[in-house]
Amino acid sequence: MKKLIIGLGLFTSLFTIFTFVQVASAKTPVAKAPTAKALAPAAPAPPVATVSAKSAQSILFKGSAGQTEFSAVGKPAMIKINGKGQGPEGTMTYVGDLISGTVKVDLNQLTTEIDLRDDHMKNKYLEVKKYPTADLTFKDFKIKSAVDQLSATDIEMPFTADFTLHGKTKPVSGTMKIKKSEKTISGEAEFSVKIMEYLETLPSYAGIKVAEDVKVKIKLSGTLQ
Amino acid sequence: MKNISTLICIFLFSGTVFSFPDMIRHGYTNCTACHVSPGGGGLLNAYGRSLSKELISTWSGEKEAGVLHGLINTEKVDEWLALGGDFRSAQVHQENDVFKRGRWIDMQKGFEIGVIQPKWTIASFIGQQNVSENQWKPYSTRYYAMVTPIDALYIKVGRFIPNFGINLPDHILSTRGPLLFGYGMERNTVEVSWLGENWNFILSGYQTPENISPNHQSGNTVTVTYTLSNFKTGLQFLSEKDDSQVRNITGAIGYLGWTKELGTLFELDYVVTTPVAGATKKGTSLLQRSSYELFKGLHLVVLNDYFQSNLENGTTKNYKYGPGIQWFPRPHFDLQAFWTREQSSNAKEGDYAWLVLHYYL
Repeated sequence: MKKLIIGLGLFTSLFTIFTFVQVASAKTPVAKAPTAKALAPAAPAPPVATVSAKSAQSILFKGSAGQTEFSAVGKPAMIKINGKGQGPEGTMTYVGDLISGTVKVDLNQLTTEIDLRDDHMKNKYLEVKKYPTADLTFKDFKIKSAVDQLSATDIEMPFTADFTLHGKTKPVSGTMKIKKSEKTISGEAEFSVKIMEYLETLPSYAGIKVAEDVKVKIKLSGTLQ
Repeated sequence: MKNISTLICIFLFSGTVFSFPDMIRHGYTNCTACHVSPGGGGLLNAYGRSLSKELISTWSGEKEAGVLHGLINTEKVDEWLALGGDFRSAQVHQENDVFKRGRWIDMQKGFEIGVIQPKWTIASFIGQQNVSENQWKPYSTRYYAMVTPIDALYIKVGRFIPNFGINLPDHILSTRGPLLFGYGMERNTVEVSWLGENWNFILSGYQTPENISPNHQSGNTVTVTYTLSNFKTGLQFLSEKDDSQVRNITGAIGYLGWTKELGTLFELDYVVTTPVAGATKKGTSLLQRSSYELFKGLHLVVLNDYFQSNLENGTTKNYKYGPGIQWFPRPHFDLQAFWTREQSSNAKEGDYAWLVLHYYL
């Protein structure tokens, strides 16, 4: 019996260590800082007006097909606050490898799975009745491949876009993955925002304050029209 | 015999703390989210009280999580004053081929008060201890002052149990009472804690009061943990000496939040005791406690708890395994019931069950 117990102990220890190693090796992707090259002003893109309306095609994104996630830290106890909601909705247009348009995330659908925290987040800080969506706007964002030639394999690239929250718009940058399967375009955009660039007051409750950097991950899924 | 039995049960089950490390499942990786003390247990802060309603209890009224169920409006003082207290009783049942016994034990009642400022805190527990049947005496074994010069750094000085292992209130567990981190083991301690977003470092230095150990005992503990997502694992070390022996413990701990419903607490300690005269003794403690939240507030628990003070002597082992439930029906109420099978050298395998009723203010 003693051997059985010690065996159980060793097994549980090894299992714990194995699990930890597994989790550690599957690090959460962190939005890479875009390279200087990526941030540098691109060669002047042709004005949108010059793109033939006939050649522009559209992608319709549905919220129910994607997901929006965010993660923040509550200080000083280092609480990990994770929230999620529906994916973005809207229509974007593309011509070749240039994508433009705005997708909107319904902030009313966000939840951190604690009712009181959700109530504070939506009504006290985000003021969702006044500002019901968070918007991500791309202006002639150049992807690595023409949209029509995307494959079922993810391609990853840095991106910049405008992010609108609580009525304020600021540029954000991060990484994006995108792929295409038949008529479905899907991908993920990850970026960080400085929450105080958008809100008047730092969210806090009962002595816990949200750290200024909030990570956002938007999973998009759209259909070529 | 009754008095001895009572004292044993008090030793095994009493506790001034209420801590719920299973909160790792929800991303609460540090005890300071809910408790005033970095080591967890004891006074709840305002956020902790809120969570007892929002996340822990099956049912709750609007103000029910407050002190005295919200009968006292403490909103104006919540930012600087923390009030609490514990009332704990247990029913124990033990049955094997040697004996069958059961007892109801009123273990503890007391209040705790803390003054909390952004950079400092003082707190003290004031209560009564059941030292024997129908005999209570007032006591205050836990008190401390703490400064927090910057976020994540806590320096705590006073009389309290040094940080070591997973701070569960069940002192029957092999990693608490048998390792001398159970009830009544408050020492004169200086503790420095760095509780970062991912890394935690906790260093303790302590001297044991004469009433606990007359042998001029002193020691140090070091705990290092790393948190990734809802998984927190780490190593811990203890070095302790007194006039008669040196004790070293090396251990591993894990708080594993598999999902929002399923979690595992794990601790394995290897104890080496070297007497001034005599042979070195090596022992071990192993705790594995997995819980699944069936619905909000009700947890099904599976416990494996093994202790052997001398690995070369099979008669020193004690192993309990079995299921239990923990239920938080409403804020302030914590009910636990376990029915385990117990293996020890004194008797054939038998039953060891306990029911704990815990009310916190």
